[in-house]
Amino acid sequence: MIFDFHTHNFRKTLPETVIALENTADSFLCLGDVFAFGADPSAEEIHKINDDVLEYTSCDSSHRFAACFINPCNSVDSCIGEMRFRVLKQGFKAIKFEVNLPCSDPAMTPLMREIARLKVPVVHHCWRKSADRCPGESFPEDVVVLAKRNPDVNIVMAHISSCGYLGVAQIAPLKNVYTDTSGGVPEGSILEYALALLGPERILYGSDVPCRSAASQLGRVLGTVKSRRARELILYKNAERLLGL
Amino acid sequence: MIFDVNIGYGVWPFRTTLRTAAPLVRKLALSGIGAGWVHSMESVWNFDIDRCNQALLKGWKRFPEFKTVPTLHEAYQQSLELLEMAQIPAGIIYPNYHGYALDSLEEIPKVLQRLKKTLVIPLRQEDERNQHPMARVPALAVAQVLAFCRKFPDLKVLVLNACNAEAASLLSEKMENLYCDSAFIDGVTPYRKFEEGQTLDHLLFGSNAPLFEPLASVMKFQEFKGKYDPSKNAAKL
Repeated sequence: MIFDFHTHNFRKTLPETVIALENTADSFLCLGDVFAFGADPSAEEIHKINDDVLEYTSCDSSHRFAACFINPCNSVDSCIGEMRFRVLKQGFKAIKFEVNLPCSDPAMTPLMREIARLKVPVVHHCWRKSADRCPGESFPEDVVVLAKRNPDVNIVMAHISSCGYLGVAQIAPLKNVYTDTSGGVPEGSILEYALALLGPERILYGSDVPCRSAASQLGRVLGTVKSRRARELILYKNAERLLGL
Repeated sequence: MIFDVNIGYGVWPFRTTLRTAAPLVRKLALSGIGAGWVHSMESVWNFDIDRCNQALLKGWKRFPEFKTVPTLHEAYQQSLELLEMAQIPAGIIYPNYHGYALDSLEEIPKVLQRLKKTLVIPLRQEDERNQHPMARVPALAVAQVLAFCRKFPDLKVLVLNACNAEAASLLSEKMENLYCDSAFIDGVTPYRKFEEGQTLDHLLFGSNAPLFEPLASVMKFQEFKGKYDPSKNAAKL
């Protein structure tokens, strides 16, 4: 069984994405076409992106799961309204934040309070970039602040390769923070490090398809994680537990 | 058996990796990689290039299926002399890390052409966004590589670690002497594009192990269900 916790439905490459996921995963979480309207989507554009996720996932709702994309730079009311509608009315399973605002910003607080009430996890883009950093992009230390302020919300710090050894070390003491294997180059050593420091219970398999080859990202996990129990946790059990499936 | 043209050896200062040959050979074998070319990662940063090359030769002596590719630098005459050894198929250079322009090279291309051996040029060692903030090195420009290949049409050049767009630019020129490896090529569409552009015969399998997990590179190829056979392409070099 394989659950891909980090996928996107970019319109331009959707046929290829579907094939890649058919070849590599039994189920997946779709995080949306998050750059469909550029770096700062309006509330209406966010609504459209989430509509597309619903359409894409609802045709096979036992294997395709939806995450609600939110731009925290939009009004608090619009963000909370969108999250309530998607989670309570349409069964979305997680909230996705991208590169719109560093997640240590206090503006995240009212949104996180609502997410705690909705009892869904957050998937947050994170990357310790030394070049080409977006102004609103979060570093692992931003995730640490967010997690400490919101100990009752489970947070998945995405992109383990790009968060690096330091990022993994920073989240290690925070039991409500997980990481996923998605994105970045398929380094094995960082995954070995995370396994030793976080344990397999806090690592989720994700590919970041179509940005990355799903097969490549899966190969990284299969080539690095040898224990059957650890593989099961990383490849699907942790995802099922976090999403309440 | 897969032939891998992009295997690193030794210390890479920013990552914990397998640093000796025997465990790396075992790791590669688990992914179906049984032969290849190995270069010194250590010589990227360490200017004691001759010692790095000697360590490379010594470290891989027990594994004849894996050919060593010494690091070349025109100021290090010993490095060029290594090319005379029959078992060495190629030499590798790091212009962006060693601080010179590709078009400044004179002796290295001449020696390689005379010996009918390949020049290996990595565009990068890491994703630039993930580099240590105090050790940032820009990728080598594709235009420089193309100009170099035009200047030396009889010299076979293998470019390592080109990203999707860079590899597409390089291979679309359809230069007889220019090849790319697959280590940094990623996503859901690039191989189809290479196939459509009829440039796949100059694309070689490269894993960039041990920095990258070799099984990731192998499964990336399995995902691509075209007519591509990486082992046949490698034989051209």
